[in-house]
Amino acid sequence: MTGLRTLLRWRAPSLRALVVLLVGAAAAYAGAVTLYLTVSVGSAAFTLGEGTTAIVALQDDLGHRQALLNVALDRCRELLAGTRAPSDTEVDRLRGLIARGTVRERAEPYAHVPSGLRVALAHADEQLSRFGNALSEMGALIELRRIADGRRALSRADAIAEAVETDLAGASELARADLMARQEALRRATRHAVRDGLLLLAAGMFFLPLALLVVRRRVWAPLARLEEGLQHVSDGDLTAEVAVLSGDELGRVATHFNQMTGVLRDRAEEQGRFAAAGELLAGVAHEVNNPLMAIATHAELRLGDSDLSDEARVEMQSILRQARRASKLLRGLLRFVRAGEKRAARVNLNDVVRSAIDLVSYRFTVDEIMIEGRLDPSLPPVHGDANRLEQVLVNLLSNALDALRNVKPPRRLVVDSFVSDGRVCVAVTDNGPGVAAEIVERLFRPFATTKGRRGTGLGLYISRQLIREAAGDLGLDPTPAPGRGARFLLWLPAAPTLGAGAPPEELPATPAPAPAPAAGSLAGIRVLLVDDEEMIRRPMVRFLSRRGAEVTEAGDGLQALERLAGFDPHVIVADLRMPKMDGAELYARLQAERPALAERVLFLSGDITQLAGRGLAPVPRERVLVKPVELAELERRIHEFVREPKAG
Amino acid sequence: MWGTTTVQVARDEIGGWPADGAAIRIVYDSIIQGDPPDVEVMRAQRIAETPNLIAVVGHGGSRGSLAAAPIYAAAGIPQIVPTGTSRLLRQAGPWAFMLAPDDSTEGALIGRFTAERLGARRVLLFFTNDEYGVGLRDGVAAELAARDVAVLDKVGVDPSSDIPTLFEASLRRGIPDVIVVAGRHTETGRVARAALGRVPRLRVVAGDGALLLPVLPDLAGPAADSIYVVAFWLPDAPDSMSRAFVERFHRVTGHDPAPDDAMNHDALLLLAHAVRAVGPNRVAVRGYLESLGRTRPPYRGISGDITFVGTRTPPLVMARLRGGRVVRVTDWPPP
Repeated sequence: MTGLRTLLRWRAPSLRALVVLLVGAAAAYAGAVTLYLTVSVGSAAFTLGEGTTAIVALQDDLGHRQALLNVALDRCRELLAGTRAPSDTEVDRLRGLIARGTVRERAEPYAHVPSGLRVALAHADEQLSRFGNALSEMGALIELRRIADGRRALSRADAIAEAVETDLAGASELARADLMARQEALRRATRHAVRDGLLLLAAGMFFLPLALLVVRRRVWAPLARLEEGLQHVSDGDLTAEVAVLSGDELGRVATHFNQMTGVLRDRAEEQGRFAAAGELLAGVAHEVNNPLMAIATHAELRLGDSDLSDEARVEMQSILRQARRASKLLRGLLRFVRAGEKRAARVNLNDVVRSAIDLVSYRFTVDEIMIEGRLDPSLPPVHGDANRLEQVLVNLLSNALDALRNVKPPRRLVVDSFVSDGRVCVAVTDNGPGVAAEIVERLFRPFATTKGRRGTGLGLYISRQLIREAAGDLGLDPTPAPGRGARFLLWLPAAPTLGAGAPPEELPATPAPAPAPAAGSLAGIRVLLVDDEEMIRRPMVRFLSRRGAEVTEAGDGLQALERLAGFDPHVIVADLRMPKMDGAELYARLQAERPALAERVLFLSGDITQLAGRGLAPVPRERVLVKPVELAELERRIHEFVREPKAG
Repeated sequence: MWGTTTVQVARDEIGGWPADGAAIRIVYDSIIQGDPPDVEVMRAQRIAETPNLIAVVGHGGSRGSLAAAPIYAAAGIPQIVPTGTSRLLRQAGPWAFMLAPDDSTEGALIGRFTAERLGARRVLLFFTNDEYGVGLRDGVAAELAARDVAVLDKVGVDPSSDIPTLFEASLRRGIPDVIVVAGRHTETGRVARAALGRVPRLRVVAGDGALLLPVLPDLAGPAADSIYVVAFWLPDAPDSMSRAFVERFHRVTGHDPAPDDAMNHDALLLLAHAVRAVGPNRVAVRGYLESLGRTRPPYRGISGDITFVGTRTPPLVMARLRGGRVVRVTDWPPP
C-alpha cells in the first residue's frame, strides 16, 4: 500500500491530464474489446456468411438444373419408348425443360468459393452443360422423328447423367465439409471470444478499483476537504485551513483557499481593531466634548461682555474658533467610523468633498501638501448616502496623500467638482508617482495594493462598488502619463429635479443657522438644566439667565427629580451621560411618572452617535443636541421647543 | 500460337527502352483456352508462387480467368485479363482488370450489325454453354429483341454436338436469315459448314472467340466466306502505333498479328509502363492501373485508350472472312 501511495504521488499528473488519461483508458478499453470481438468473431461470421451465400446459390442452381434435366431425360426416355410419334406439344415441353436446365438461372462468381470446391462445382456445371447439350441433341432427334438415333443417343445421355450425379454428389460433400469447417471456425471463434471477453472484463474489473482509488485520492478527497473548509468559512470560522497534499490543480486551489482565509483573518482583525477604535473614539468624544463645550461656552459668554478689551476679545474669539474646529473634527471622525446603515438622500457632492477634506486635513500641514481645486458652486445634487460617498472621497484622498509622501515637494493635491455630459463628477488629482502600468489592470480588484502590509487592498474595490451602487462609476483617468501623477474620476448621475411643492430631501452637512432670537427672548421660560459637569453647567446657566430664563440646576437625574418636586419647568435640558442617573433614565422615569414633563426634555450629548440613532439611550433623536453646543443654538432650540406644541 | 510471339515482340520493345529502374522480365507460361477449371486453378496457384512476380496477363478466356482470379486476389497479384469478355469478370475482385469490353457490349454490336447491315428479321442463335457463350448470347438476344428481330431458337452446342441434327431440328421453327454463334472457332466453323450445306445463302455472325486463323476457315470449308466476326483490332488499322506494331510483329514472325496479339501486347506493355512508373510493387502497380483515367491519363494502347473506369469500350471492328483472310467490313457502320 505504501508502494502504491508512493507510486500515486510520484510525478502525479495534473487533474486535467488525469481526466484525459482515465477517459482515454476507458475509451481504449471499450474500443479494444469491441475491436477484438469484431475481428475474432466478426471475421469468422463474415467468412461463413460470404461463403455460404455463394456456395448455397451455386448448389441450388446446379441441383435445380440437374432436376430439370433429369426430368427431361425421363421424358425423352418415355417418348423414345412409345409406339406413337411424339406430338409437337410434347416436343415443345421437352425443349423447354432442356432449355431451362441447360443454362444457369443466375450467374454467380466463384470468387468466394474455396478453390477445391470451386473446381468441383465448375466440373459439375460443365457436366450439366454437356448433359443439356446431349439432351438438346436427343430432343432434336425426337423432333425429327429419328427414334432409332434417339435411342442410341439415350445411352450417352444416361452416362452423362451419371457423371453429373457423381460430380454433384462430390461437390455437395465438399460443400458440406467446407460449411461444417466454417461453422466450426465460427464456434471456435465464439468460444474464444466469450473466454477472452470474460478475461477482458475481469481485467477491467481489476483496474476499476484502481481507477476509483486514484479518483478518490486525487479528486473526491481534496474536494471534500475543500467543501469542509468552505463550510467552516461560511459559518464564520476564518481559522479554517485545508491540507495541501498535492501540487495539482486542487492542491493549488487549497493553497489559494488557505491564503484567502489568511487574508480574511488579517482583514477581520483589522476590522475588529477599527471597530474597537470607533467605540473608543465615541467614549473619548464625550469626554473631550464636555471640556470643549465648557471652553467654548466660557469664551462665548466672555465675548458677550461689553467691557471686554479688544485684545481679550481677539483671544476669546481665537479660543472659541479653535474649540469649534476641534469639535467639528471630532464630529466628522465619529460620523466616519460609525456610519450606520445606508440612508440615501439628495446629497451635494461639494459638501461631501469638504467633509472628506476636513477629515484628512491634518495631514496637509504635516506632509507639506498643497490642497487646491475648484468646486462648481452650481453642482446639482446626486442621490446617495452621504456617509458612504464621504468614505469614497476619504479613500481617494488618503491614497493621494500616501502617494504624495513618496515624492519631493512641491506636493499638490487637486480636487475638482464639475458637470460633464449631465454627470456630476469629482476628480482627485495628485502629482505623485502615478499608477504603474502593471497594476492598472488589477487596480480595482480585491486585495490589490501597492502599500504592502499597510494597505488592505480593498479601498478602491469597495469605493468602486459603493459608487456603482449609486449608479455611477469610479475609474483611473488614463490621460496622465505613467509616472506623472494619478487622476481618479468618479461620477454620479444628477438627482432628478424635485417637483413643485415636494419637500427637499437634502441633508445639509451643516444646518443653516436660524436667526438669533431677540434679546430677552427666553423671558418667562423656566429651564431645569441637568449636567454633572459644573464647568459646562455654570456658563450655560449664566447665559440662559441673561437671556431672561428662570434656570434651576441639577448635577444628575436624581437631583433633577428632587428639583421637579417644587419646580415646574417649561424645558428640561439634560445631559445623556451622568453619574447616578443619566438623562435617558431620567427621561424614562418621567415617561413613567410624569409623562407631560417627559415631553419637555431636551438632551445634551457628547456622543455624536446619538444623532445616527445608534446610541444606547432610548430617547427621541430630534431632541438631542450634540456638544459642544453654541449658546445661540441652545437658545434657539429652547425657544423653538417651548413654542412647538408637544404631542400628548 | 500467339503467346510466344507476342511475348517476344513485347520483350524486344521493352528492351529498347532506356535502361533505368528495375529490369522487367516477361515470363511466358501457357495460353490454352478451354482447359477445365481445376487445371486453371492449379496453374494459377503455380504462377502465384513465382518469385518476384509483379502481375499476370491472362488467363485465356473468361472461364479460365474467372477460375484463376480468386487465387491472384488472395495473393495480391494484379491480373489483367486481355480477351475475356464475361461480365462476371467485373465481380472477380479488386485485383482483376478487364481489358476487353464485356459480352453485353459485344452482343449489342453483333445484334446491331445483324439487324442493320445484314437486314436480318429472323435469327437462329447457337451458343457454347459457358460464361463466354451464355454472356454473349444474352447480349445479342437483348439487342435483337430491342430491334424486333425474331430469335427462332437458342441452341446450346459443344465440340461433340451433332450440329447438323440440331440445325435441322431448329429449321422446324423457321428459316433464319442469319445465324449468330456465341461460341469459339470450332462451334462457329462447324455451324457455318452445316448450316450453309443446308441453306446456301445464310450468313453467320460470330464473336471474337471465333477468330482463329487458319482454323476457322478450315473448319467452315466452303461456308467460310459467309462468316462475319467481331475483332478487338485488325492489322490493317491505319494509326501509327498499329503500323509500328504490325511491322515489329512481322519482323519476328513473318506474318500479321491477330487481334488477340494486339490485346496481349497492350496488356504486357501497360504493365511494363506501370512497373517503370511506380516500381516493382504489386500494390503500387494495382494503384497505377486504378488511377488510369482518374488521376493519370489513360494509357494509349494499340487497341485504343485504356482505363479501368467503368466498362471499357475499345473500338470493336466487324470483319468477314475472304479467301481465308480477315477483311474489315468497310461499309458499316455508316459514317
